[in-house]
Amino acid sequence: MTVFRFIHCSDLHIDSPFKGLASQVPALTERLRESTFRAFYNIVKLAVKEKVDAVLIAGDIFDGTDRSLQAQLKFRRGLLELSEKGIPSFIVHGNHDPSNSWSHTLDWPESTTIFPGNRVARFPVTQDGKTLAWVYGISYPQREVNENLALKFKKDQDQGFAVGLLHANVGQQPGHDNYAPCSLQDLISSDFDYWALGHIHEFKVLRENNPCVVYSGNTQARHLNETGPKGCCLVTLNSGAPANIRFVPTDVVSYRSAKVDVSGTSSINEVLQALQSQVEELTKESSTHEGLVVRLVLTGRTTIHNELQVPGAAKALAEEVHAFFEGYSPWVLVDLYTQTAGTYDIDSLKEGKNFVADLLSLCEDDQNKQLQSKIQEAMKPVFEFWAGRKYLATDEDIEGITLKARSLAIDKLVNRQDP
Amino acid sequence: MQLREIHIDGFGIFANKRITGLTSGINIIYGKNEFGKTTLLEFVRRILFGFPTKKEKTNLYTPLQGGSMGGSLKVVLQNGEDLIISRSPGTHGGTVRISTPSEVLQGQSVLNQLLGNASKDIYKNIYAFTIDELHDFNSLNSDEVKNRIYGAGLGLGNVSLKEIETEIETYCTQIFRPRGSSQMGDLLEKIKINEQEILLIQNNLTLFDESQEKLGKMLNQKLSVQNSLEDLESGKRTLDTQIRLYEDAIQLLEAQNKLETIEDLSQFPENGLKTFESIEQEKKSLLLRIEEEQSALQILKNSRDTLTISHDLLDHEESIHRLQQSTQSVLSALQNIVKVQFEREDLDMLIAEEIKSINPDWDEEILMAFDLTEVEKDQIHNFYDSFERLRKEVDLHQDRLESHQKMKAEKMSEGWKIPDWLKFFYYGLTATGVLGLFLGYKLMNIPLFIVAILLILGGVFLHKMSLINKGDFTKEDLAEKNLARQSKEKEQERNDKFDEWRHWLRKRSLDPNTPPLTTKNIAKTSRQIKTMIAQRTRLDEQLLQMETLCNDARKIIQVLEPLVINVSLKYDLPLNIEVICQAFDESKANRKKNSLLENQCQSQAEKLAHLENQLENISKDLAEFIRSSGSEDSMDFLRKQSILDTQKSLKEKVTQKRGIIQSNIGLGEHFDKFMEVIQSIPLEETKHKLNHLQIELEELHSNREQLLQDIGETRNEIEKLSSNNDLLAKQTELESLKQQLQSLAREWAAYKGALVLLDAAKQQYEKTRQPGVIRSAENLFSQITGGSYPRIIKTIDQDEVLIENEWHQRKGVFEMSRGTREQLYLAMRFGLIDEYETRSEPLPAVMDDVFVNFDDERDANIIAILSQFGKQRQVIVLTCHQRSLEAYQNIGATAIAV
Repeated sequence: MTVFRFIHCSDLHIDSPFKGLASQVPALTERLRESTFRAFYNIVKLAVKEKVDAVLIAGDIFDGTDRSLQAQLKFRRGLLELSEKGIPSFIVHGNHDPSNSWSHTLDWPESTTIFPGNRVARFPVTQDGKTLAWVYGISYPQREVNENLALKFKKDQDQGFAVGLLHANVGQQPGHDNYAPCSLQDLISSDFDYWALGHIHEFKVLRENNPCVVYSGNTQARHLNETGPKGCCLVTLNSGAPANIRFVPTDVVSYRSAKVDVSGTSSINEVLQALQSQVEELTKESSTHEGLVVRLVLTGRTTIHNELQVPGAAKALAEEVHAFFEGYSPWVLVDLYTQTAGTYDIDSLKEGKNFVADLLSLCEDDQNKQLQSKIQEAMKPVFEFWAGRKYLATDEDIEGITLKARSLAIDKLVNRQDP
Repeated sequence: MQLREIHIDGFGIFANKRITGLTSGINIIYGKNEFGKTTLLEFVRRILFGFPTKKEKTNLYTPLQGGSMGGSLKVVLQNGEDLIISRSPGTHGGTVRISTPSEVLQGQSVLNQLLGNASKDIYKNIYAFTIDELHDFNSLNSDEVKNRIYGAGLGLGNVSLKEIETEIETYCTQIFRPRGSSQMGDLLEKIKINEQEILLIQNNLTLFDESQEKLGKMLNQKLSVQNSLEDLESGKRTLDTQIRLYEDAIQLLEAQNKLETIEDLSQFPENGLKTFESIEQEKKSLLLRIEEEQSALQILKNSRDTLTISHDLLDHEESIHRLQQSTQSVLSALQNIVKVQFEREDLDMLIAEEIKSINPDWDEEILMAFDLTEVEKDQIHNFYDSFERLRKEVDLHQDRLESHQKMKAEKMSEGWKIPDWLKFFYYGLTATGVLGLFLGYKLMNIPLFIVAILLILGGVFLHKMSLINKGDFTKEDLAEKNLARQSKEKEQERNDKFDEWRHWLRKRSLDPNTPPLTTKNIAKTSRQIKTMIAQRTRLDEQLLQMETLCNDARKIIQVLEPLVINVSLKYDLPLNIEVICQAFDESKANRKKNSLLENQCQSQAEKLAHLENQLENISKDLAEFIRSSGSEDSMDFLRKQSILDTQKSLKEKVTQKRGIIQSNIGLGEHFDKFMEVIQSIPLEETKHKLNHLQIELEELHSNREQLLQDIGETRNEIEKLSSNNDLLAKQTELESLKQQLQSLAREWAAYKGALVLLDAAKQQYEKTRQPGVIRSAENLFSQITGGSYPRIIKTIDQDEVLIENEWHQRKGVFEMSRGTREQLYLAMRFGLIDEYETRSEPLPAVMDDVFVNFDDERDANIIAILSQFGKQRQVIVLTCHQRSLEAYQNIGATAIAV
């Protein structure tokens, strides 16, 4: 009976910066930066602890466009440690780290195998002279690979297990570039035992057995949208028994989003308390992590809405929260946004015969479209003509902006009526 | 607020001008042209809102007729409070004072508050205006006025739409401006810088690969240089060795050549020199010893010869011995002789004195003959006792007689000699006692009784005392006579005894007056003197003995005097004895020493003879040894020995040099080859080759150093590149900056959207609802024009005002006649005042000949309207038309004379 135990991971994105975070707390951002490497190092530690037969990495080890030497050196450091413990590693390049983005002079440990980009190659994993498995794989020679690479895999060895290592979008998963597109059927029909896939940043078992088709997901979230568990797969293939796939979390920083309803609050202190208790709850949920990055959105109607709208108010609140959670475990980094509204009653305002009622009517139904196009026109100086427009999101949420504009206008018009 | 009085201190043509009697409602001030109506209007405006500065190009109304610039307004507020507002020139529009009945306040801000925060513009444009100002459309077109027109109807209360728009516009500009500094612009700059920095760091990857390749190449170069260096070093070592060993090799060859030419000395004993030297050495030491022994002998002889011995002195050994023995005795005799002589003389004198003390006539002879036997001594003793006893008896009898006589005298003086008359006293005392006793008894009085007894006892005692007996001595004293007789007898007995004693003394030729005890002492003294005489005799003997001793010594010294130096009878005897004894002892010691030295000399001479014999034997041995070595004599032996030594040293040199060379070069073939090279190649040539090699080596070394340095630098570069951890930090910062930019853009868009929305809302509002000001003005304008124009249209975003006639035909201001236009503007001002005063303190409206262009009908209309308008407020109309004055007076206006 042959048993092949290995770790399958992908999308390490070592040293790739985290996205979409405006807050900067120097002490924490430093730790945040280290998180991708720390996650990879957790895999190395796991491999050593579990004494696995191999570590398979299915691409996107770092972001090639970053051209980070440091990332490659750090990665090599981890591989060296595996090599010292006698654990071989197998690597394919993905769309983010195609072959041409790697340093060509960096020497890799002997026990590290990097698959070529021009053909599917195979390498054995042996133990005491016995071949446990053959690992097949192909790298991305350049960033964009649009052909179906899965079709190139042909099993030509009967000894041991056949494991395919591929960076691809299986079944055209939305939200990800459709590189090396293939269907699940393409993989099933190849007679492999396990498909170690990379590219999708979420742990997904597409098929549990015969063959196993698995996305291990990324090892550490780098975006506030990546909120699920992040880690690697500890896989045991056993001839004559179903495969055992265990997901092991490796991330050190947890990313969370939450809305904090501050309706009815009448002072900044109350808002702060609501924020703190929300963060506290989240830290409890992320207690296994070293850090917690949380995006908080203040919502609800409050009498201090105007205070919260003052430029810099959100930042000041975030700083208060940081100060409160200083020295906390896990450490906390908060990105705070406000979507609160004043305590006025929109419906009764609409009923009026005055300017405000006229204004509100403009945001309704047909007139709203007209208004949005006017606003879009007004936005052009920045979003179409300004030199810095390339750094701005192309798909600006015009509805959101219109709503915010309405809110701002009403704030100014209505709230001032109160003495 | 309404005006009550106007006081002008100095302003334009006015000086010290007082206008009083102003009332609520319409006030009309009539005056011809140049009268100063406009000046008055301007005065009110400036007192309320400040004087212009000189920079403002306007009429400053400098007082032309003296008086200080400024003045005051006496006013009453809506709440009935009276105030005086005065203003004098100063900064910021002049110094304003507001005097209330209770206090005096100061400052434009206080006044503004009282004015309901009306601005200067508002007042000037809608409350107090001239015909020209009325006519100027722009006066109604300021933002503030425009907003006033719309503000009321917007339903926004105090909110100014314009303010909101300005505020939002400001936010937008702060966030973004196409040109100039803005938050987004600044962020973009930062992003660009950050991107540049990132690009620079990203280039590290290329640099790293380049450096790695460069390093690989250099390491190969280093290897080849290393090999060349090793070859050269080896060649250099060979040449170095050749040069270093050259001298040794040459010496080896020379030694080998010399050895071949040396004489054969195979028969010469190998260790001959050692034997030769040892015998020679032995001989030398023997000679040395003989010399030493001879000198020792000589020293002994010298010592012996220097000794001096006095044989004559030694012959007197016995006498000197005696003399030596008597030294102490002589010394003490010499010391004692005088002392003993003195002692003897003292004793002699004492003896003579003692004899004289017994009896001056006595001499030694008599004394020697005098002695008392024991019987005589007893006799003396008996005499003495008898004398004593007799003396005592005489004394006793004498004492008895005297004591008897004394007692008799005492008895005679005893008892009280009481006079006779006093005897009656104790009789009386007794009698009183008896009487008392009787009375006591009779009266049974105990104390009286006791006193009576005491009295009786006293009388008896006194009587008794007077009756003591004196009769014993009264009769003749027989005892006295008896005692006198006995005393006399005893004295006689004593005198007899004295006579007997004197007789005894004379018999022994002693002084008859000598008492017995003295006689006894004479015997004792004579015995002591005899002892002294005996002692004197002993001293005489002692003196004789001492003198004999000294004389003997002198005799001996006399004999020895010529034999010993420093001896003479002239000197002290002990000194002489000491000198002689010393000389004798010395001679005696020298004699002993001499005999000892003599013995030593003899044994030394024997020793010398033995040594000389030994020397002879050794000389023979040496000669025998030299012969046996085949040498003729010592010199020849030594010569041959020297040749042998040279040969030996040459052989050693050959061995040593060969050893040195072989230890550097090796044995056999290598050695032979080396020696061959040394013989074949001159040293100079080898040195020349070495120099050449040295230069080559240095060049190569320097190449290698440069290479090593380059390698080090490249490695450092690689290390630096590898350790640069800034990229991620910069990228993170970039992400953050982008996010911030995104947020700002969204915020800007929202603000911009808000502006769009407000604008759209204004248009919407304009279409559907006209503001109250316009409606009010519309109404007034319709009244003024007699219903010709029932509507006024004022757009928010356009400055134009349109009027619409009853047929809905619209006219712009430029299409209106001057009069109609002025009527429209007046109607709008009235509308504005209405609107304004709904929220603020009413202000006095001052109009300077604004109706001149009105036709009669419309003039009448306006008067009617003003009549109505003036009911709720104060209106001051300034006119130069008499008819106007009259017309206004007709509707109840107060005419004010100036």
